[in-house]
Amino acid sequence: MQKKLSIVMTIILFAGMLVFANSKGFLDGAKNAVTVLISPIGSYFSDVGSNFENFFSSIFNISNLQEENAQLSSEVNELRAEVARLNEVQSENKSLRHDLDFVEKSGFEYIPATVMAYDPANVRGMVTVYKGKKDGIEVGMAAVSEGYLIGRAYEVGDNYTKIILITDPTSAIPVSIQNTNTNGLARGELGSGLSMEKIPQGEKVSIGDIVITSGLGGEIPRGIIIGKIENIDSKENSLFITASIRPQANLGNVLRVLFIKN
Amino acid sequence: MIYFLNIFITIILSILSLTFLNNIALFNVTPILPLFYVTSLTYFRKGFEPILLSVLAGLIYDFFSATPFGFYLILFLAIASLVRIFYQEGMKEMTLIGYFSFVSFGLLAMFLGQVAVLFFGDVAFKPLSLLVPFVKTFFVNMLWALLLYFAIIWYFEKVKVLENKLKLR
Repeated sequence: MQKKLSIVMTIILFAGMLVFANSKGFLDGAKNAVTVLISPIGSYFSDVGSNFENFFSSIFNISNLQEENAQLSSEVNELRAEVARLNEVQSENKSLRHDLDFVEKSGFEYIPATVMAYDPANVRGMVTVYKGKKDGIEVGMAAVSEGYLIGRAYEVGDNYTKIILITDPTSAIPVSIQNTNTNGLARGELGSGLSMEKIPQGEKVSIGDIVITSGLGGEIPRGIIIGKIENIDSKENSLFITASIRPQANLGNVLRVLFIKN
Repeated sequence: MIYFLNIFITIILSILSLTFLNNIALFNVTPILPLFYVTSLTYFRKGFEPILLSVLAGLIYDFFSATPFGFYLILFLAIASLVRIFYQEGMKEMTLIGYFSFVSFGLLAMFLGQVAVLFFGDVAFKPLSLLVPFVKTFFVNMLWALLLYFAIIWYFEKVKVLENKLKLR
């Protein structure tokens, strides 16, 4: 009995010492060491337990899960469609803002039109729009999209207009380089290319220069951006320099057009 | 009934090719879908139907193209006539080589025709500059022609089954 009492007293004393040591922070190091040792094992068993529980609850909830899965899939599809629609709206919004910005800054009068069809061949560059003579469009009028020149009206019906793009081989537009007196001719090439020809030797032309309409000839107003100089071909024995232009407008996918009233 | 269905398909293919497909054009090349359809139609269908539908597709194309009016009409008509000359009316099958040969011929004729229009229209161009656009046009169109070959074969088989059913009635 006395022996038992002494064991109990020892345990109580030891417990009291542990409580006192803990309150003074002497056991912190030991606790950390134990935590480090135990945590991987503990988390492993927690996972096993959790999976075990999930496994059984999954069996009981499988029909609910299927339903939920179908619902979520449907929601994902709807959200994807919504995202695609919003992307389209965003791109249209951006394009319209460009148009609006150009209209406000330039001070020209415009006739807006929507593109109906594109030329089927890869050789020529042409689009047809659903507006014509009845709307005031005339042959030769400049057509711009998002503030950049894309071409000019060459065939006008009562309700339709065919626009020859600047990249069509039959297109030749008097141009100049922005902020200089360098003039030339922007001519379309086979396969959607565009080059600036007839630049007199000695004129300063650099890659990245902005090409604008010069207004010569009177059909197209001065100052409409066509593109940027991409490459320069200058031969010493040649009278003129030729430079290739990268059009600024996305000519492969023109959706709306503004005709500039002369 | 099948005749009207073919008219409808010709119109739809022409319009698709002129509008929607431009937005998903590979290398900026839109496939000439009516060319594939007219070629296969002349293989499988008898009488004047292929000739009339080639004229219809040609007229729709001519309306929206930059080439002189009648260019595509003559092109599609020539292809249909050529197939008719080489094969008897209402063939039961169309070989891939035969179909590819006529489509290739049509593409070459279309390209050379357009270059001729530019040449006689006094448009200056370097002969070498023709190579890249032609290769791109040819490659993309042949890819589409291959993709559509199986769909066309499937469609005309269904048409034959439908025609036989209508005859039995």
